[in-house]
Amino acid sequence: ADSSEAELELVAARHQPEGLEQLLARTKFTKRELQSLYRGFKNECPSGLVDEETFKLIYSQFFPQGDASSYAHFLFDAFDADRSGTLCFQDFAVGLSVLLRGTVRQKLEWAFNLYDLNKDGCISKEEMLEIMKSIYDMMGSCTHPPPRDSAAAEHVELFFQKMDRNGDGLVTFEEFLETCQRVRSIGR
Amino acid sequence: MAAGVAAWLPFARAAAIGWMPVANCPMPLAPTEKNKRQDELIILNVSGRRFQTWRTTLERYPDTLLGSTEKEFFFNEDTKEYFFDRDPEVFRCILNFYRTGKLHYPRYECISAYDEELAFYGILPEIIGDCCYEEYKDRKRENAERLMDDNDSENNQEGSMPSLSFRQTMWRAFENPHTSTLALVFYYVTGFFIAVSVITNVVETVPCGTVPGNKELPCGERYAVAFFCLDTACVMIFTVEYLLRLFAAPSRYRFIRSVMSIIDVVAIMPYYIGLVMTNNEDVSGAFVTLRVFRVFRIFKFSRHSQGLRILGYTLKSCASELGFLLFSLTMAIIIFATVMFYAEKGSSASKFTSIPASFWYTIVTMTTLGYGDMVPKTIAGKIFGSICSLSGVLVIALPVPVIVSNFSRIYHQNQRADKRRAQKKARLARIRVAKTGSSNAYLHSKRNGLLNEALELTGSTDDEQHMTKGTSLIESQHHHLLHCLEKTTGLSYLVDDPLLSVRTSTIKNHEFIDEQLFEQNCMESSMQNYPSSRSPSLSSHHGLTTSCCSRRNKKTTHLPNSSVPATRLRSMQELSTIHIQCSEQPSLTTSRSSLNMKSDDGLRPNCKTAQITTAIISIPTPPALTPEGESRPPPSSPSHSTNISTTTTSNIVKVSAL
Repeated sequence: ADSSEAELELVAARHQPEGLEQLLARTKFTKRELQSLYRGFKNECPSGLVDEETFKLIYSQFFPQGDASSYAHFLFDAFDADRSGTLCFQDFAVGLSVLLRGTVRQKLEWAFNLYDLNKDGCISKEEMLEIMKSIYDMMGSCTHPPPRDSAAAEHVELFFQKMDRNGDGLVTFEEFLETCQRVRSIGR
Repeated sequence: MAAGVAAWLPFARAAAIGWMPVANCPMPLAPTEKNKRQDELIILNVSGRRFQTWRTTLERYPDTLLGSTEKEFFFNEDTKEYFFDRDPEVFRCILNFYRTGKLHYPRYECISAYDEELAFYGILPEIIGDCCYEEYKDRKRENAERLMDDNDSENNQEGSMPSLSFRQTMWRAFENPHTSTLALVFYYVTGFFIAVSVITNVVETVPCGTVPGNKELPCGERYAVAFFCLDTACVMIFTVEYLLRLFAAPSRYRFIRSVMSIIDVVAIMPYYIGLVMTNNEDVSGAFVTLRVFRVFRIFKFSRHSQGLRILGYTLKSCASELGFLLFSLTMAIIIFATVMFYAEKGSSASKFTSIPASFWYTIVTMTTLGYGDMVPKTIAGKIFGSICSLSGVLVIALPVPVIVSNFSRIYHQNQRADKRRAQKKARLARIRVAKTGSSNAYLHSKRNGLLNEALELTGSTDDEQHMTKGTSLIESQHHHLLHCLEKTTGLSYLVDDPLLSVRTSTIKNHEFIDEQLFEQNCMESSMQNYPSSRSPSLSSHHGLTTSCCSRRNKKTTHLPNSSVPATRLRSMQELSTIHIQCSEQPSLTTSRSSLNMKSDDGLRPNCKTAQITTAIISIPTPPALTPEGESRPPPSSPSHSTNISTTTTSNIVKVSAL
């Protein structure tokens, strides 16, 4: 058992992404862009895999005043399409492709997927509250005006008022899409 | 933000799209990326070893040499690469810094070389990664200590200290007996007397024959007077020494508190107390005890022995270990004494009468001495006695290695310091030899130059080629520079030579050849005597210049001087630009005697004062005109604006004033 575990570890020590051609097909990046992306990615993560802890660490560095760990967790889940618990380069590249080169609908779909924590197709108030709290946590406490405990809840109420057409306490993708496309031009 | 994390920034920014649907306010505009170039490989050629990296990698740190436009200075158009004439090994670490964001310090690298490279590439050493930072700091500290050490001892040894007060010289003499012969003598004398005093104390108690009265007397009582005289002499020397040290000490208060001074006082006090006290019976008992303190004189040897000092220092630095040893021993002694007492209580006629009485047994047993004056008789006593002796070995063996290793470390440090000092002597000697060599080369070339002129005048050109041997371009330029300096200051690189003053006084009226010979002789003598002193002796040089000036004055008597005042005026005007003073080329004046008369006059007042304000440094001109290539007369020779003067004017490069 020991030797097999050791072998497993050896195998998992390096993750090889799928070939350049497949990635080209799946994403909207050019070859050079993919190369540059991969080089940066591999530099930071020589093993080819990013686990959640590392991801949280990296993401927190961008928001030193607050606590970005919970939002990073949601973000990680959003990127980790195959639920493997680690981000590999495919997830990374595909996610970025959607965000940078996707159509407005695709971007909105991605955002919806981010908010939908349990991936059941609709956003409930609880889920939204969690997301909102994590975003406010990221801001930290040194803000002006100073943070209030109810800020997140109020923000959620606002959101639901805008989004929830039929007032059933859930926001489905169609409602979401409709409202967003109507209200403002996303996708700059 | 670290470079590594910066790579994730685009990702984080992309993910921020997720905030947009929930945001209540519109998002700010994104900054536009100017000059978004396609990433390209750049080649860095460091001493032949080619490194390649992406341009963006280097641009991560824009405030370093490689990350900014400063590297464009090193761009080689022909090969389309950046060439750095530096160490490729260290460059590897530097480039890795750009790649990984962490700067490492390779252990095999010399610390000062590494620091220089870092400074060259504009990288602060503070960003060395944690893994290597401690090592780097340690090495740097060692280096700094070594340099400070060198500087200190250099200052001490230089002997060219500013005049110390008498008190300071005395203190220095006391602290370091090698500074002067007197100090050395003092050192040995005190050492001798310490030895005499200690031996006296010892011999005093030896029984030396009987006195009729058949009582064995110790020598001290038999030859009481002799011993008393010896003792007095020693104490007087010690007292004088102590008082002198007290007088010379820079901080008397600190001196009084120091260990050595306390030892000194304790060593001489019993004598004085003995003098003061009368033959009072009760007090004399105490007085006798006081004599014990005379043995402290032996500690005075620690000023003479470095080993003793090291030992003392070790004990001081191991105070905690010693304290632990003492404490654990005390604990063990008390435990075992108690046990032994109760174990032996039953036995009759036992020596273990009380616990304190058992202490003696415990100590003797634990240190494995085993005198045998107290032995346990009961079986229990014997068992515990053996346990006691076994544990004693352990308790003592534990702290001792710590003390020993401390001593060894301090001792080796001292050895290193001594070694450094010894090596430094060799190193300084090497440096001196190098300096001598270079100055000798300079004087040699100067002599050659003069000879050249002589030969030139006499028209024999083939010898000229013979004289100018292979001096490299750098050497000749260096010599030219030194010569310029000489001319500027009106001094010249000679040595304090008694012969010189004689020569200058005898030289009044000589032709060029004579003077040139004179110069030659000066050079020779200087080259022989150079190592003794570097600083030219002003007296001899002043003599030299006055001799030159006097010679020139002689020459000017032949002048048809129409425009002497005009020259002076011109020279005054020229002061605003740049002037030559005082220094003179005998060759010039004599070879162009007629031409330079007027300018001589102009120069004369300046020469007398032998002062400099500024200097002209001219471009090396063709040898025909200027063999030594500097100090033109001010371009104000009015009437004789011949070709030569115009050419000389054209050759002058005006340099800003000193």
